[in-house]
Amino acid sequence: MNKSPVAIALLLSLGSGAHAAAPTEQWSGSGPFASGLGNQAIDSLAISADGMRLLAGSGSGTVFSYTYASNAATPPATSDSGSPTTSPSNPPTNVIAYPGTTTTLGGGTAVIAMPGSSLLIPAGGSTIGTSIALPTPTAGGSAAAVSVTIGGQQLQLIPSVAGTTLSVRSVAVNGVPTQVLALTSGSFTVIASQSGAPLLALGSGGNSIVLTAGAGGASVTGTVDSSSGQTVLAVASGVVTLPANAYASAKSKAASSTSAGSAPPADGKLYAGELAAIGGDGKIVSVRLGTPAGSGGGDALNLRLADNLGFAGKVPQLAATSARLGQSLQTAFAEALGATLAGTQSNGVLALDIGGSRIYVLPLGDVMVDRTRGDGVRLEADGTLSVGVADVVLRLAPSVADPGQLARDLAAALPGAALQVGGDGTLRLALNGQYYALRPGWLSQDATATGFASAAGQLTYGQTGRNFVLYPGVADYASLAAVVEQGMPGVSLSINGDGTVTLSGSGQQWTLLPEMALQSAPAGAAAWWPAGDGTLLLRNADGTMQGFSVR
Amino acid sequence: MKTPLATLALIAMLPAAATAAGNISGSDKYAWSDSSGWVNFSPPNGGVGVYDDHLEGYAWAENVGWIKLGSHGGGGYHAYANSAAGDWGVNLDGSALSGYGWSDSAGWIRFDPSGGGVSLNPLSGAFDGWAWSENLGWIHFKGGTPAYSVVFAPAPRVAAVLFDAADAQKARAAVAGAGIHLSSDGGASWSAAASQPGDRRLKSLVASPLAAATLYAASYGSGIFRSVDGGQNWSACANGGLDLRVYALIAAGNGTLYAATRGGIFASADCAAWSARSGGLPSSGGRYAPTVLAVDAAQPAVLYAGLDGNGIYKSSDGGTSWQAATGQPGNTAIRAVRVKPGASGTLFAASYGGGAWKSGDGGVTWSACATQPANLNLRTLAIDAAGKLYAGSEAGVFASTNDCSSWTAMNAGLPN
Repeated sequence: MNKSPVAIALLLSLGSGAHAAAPTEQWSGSGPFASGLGNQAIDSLAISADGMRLLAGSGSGTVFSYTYASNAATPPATSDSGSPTTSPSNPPTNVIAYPGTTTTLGGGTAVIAMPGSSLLIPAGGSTIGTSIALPTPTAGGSAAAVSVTIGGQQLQLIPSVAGTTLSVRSVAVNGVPTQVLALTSGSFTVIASQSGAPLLALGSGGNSIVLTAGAGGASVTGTVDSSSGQTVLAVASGVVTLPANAYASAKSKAASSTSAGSAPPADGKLYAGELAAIGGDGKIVSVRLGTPAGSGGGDALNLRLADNLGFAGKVPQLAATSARLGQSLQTAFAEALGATLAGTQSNGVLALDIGGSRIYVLPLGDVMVDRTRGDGVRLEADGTLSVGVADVVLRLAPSVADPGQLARDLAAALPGAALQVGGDGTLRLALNGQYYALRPGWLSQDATATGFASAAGQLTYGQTGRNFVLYPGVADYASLAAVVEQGMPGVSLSINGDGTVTLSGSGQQWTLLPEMALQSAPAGAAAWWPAGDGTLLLRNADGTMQGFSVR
Repeated sequence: MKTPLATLALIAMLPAAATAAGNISGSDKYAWSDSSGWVNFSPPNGGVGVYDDHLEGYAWAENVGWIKLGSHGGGGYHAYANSAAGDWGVNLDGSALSGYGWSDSAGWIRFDPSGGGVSLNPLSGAFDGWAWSENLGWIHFKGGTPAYSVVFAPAPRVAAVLFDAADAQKARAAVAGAGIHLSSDGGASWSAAASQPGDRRLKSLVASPLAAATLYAASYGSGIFRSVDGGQNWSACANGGLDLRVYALIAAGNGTLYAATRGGIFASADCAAWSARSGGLPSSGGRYAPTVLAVDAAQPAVLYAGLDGNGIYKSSDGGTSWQAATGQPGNTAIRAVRVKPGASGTLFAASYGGGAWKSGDGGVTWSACATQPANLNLRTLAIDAAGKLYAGSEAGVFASTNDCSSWTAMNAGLPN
């Protein structure tokens, strides 16, 4: 009998000294384990990557090897064929970090972290550039946390999507080279419990920035937007400190921008419930309120108020408390307007009491953090109001009290009517292939009448004890603004509370009265042209046109 | 006779002379019965074979004659049903033996009787304990005075061989009964790993597609072991949730490990925590367990499982659900399945006794290869990147360069 693995090993290692070159195209083995049991029963086979070598494991314990004779011709001594355009890919040289032990990074070897694993990134340059692949979140969405000790700080990393990778970088923090993680791809949450802990490096080269945890630590989710090259940071808890070099030297975006960009906050901090977009140059592109889940303050309300009502833009949720403001967004903005809240935002609309009057406003777009905006209320050119409170900026449009009821009333009065609320609050009514642009007035009157009425050339609408004027509205403000900007240099544009448009410039002023009904624009129509009756016709982006009478 | 199998006695007829060769030690081969004397488990012209899940072959007692350990022959995998006339014998589950042997003169011999029972130490190979026969009484497998014992001493079998992905001079072998061995000269010489897996019943050896130095070895009885240094040192994975009786292990291109076990198929990202992936596979208490696995290199979620005696199944969702091939190979003693690189719809299967099989529709239907290797007792398959197919048989290696339309023996250098 042969019970000893040691003996077997000795037999296996027979002939482990010098060997002559193995013959090609025939099997050779070091001999069977047990005398007399050698046979041709092949239980296992392996093929080398190039297909030129085989291994055959036998049922008698021998591994036979086989090498094909090379048929490759000897290359000429000189060749002008150039370098090969492809080369064999290198095999992976990763280290897999498993739970239950701490894996120390070193030598630049990439690490694949398994759920629950612990990584130690030692000081020194040998780890710079090391790639860390985070585990794939499980189908049930449970966290696959990885613990990392870097620069003496302990971080928890929780991947959000599959394929999330990080790298170790060295970035100067206050002039001191500091090891910090950078997000290469995917999305993950980094949690630090210690104040001042470097969370994440962004940007590259001399434009690199390092985000650090504020007092008490922070939890931040970073997501790479591969299409824009930006990284979106979402602060889940705590405060994140932005370095001074995260700020662009000059703000290129207009302060009135609704969502595309904003200047970073003045206090250099990001608070819980805020999302920051960081460009590939390490500069902050914008900061807004919101969460990755889309369920926090500043995120879009899911408004389904009527079957025939839609919203072209985002109506932000304002009931949540802003960590930056220390109070609910709706309360903060109401106070900034000198108003008090008169109800909840159940249908997206805020009811405000100001000086004995009640107005209804519809919040629109992103709630931005913009330090250049300044506090206070401002009427924007598109006819909306912007309100700034401690760098937090919101835009408001006039609205009826209940847009859903308006849509239902329209459907009752005009079967087939559908209503859409535009991104600037303009109402777009569709009826039997015709379109109409309307704009509620800022103010409303007490009234008991309901439904629609026409008096003195104005369309009015009553609901919930209030009576609203529905003015003709500008259907496509962007097209109008473009025509003015390109065709009337030096002329400013503003939309008034009654829907009229004021053009001012060169000491003159014109008022344009939009027509409520829209028409189909003729094919190949110019951006605008005068009609025979003295009105101006504006081509809208959607193929319709709107007439404006001039006075 | 109290056994429920009594009615099967007439069917369990022994041949006039047993000829199977077993794998019991030539020196430690005797059990003892007070009433009938020595029972030889490695007699001339007979012998008992111990396999992963069952025993087969013949023992000899001078006063009783031949004792047959099971109706199955030919090794491989076979869990006896012990409820059917043609399917009875002694099962091995981990270290516990159960079921029945048969003697024409003494009747049934039970290996898991109340008050007794026989075990097999998976590392030392030593039997221990007591079997029971109504007519012979107790049969003792290990005694002190005089010293006697029955010891399973298999020839070391090379269960798996593996090249390093980057260096064909580096090779590893998983040898059942002898552990992991490494070669740095292309297989010309071998040395044992510095520290071995804690179970030598090795079945598979795979490299992680994510990290070249990380290897996994599967054992029947102790689950999966891992090496992070290219095979020199091994430690057991946590193996949470895994049936430790592993027949086969594969790694998909995305790093997911799949293990075929007696309890079904399991998947894991890290070999620590495993989840069952056996939806749609037959559940027969260990019978028809999946013993073969394959994955499509181009589609990590497309898996194939060979169920010994029950054919080939396919999963397109990472093992969550399985569907049996609608046209199974004519021989379902499946030993290997391989997907042709670059042609996901083309697969090959090796069967023991039925030769090679081919599917041209992604494993839905199978047909016998147009020509067969000279030996139909195939044990394994391999296929290179160019599609050259190799079959390991009981009579050497055969190669095909035309999708098994023809085969060439390549046995020069193999022992006769």
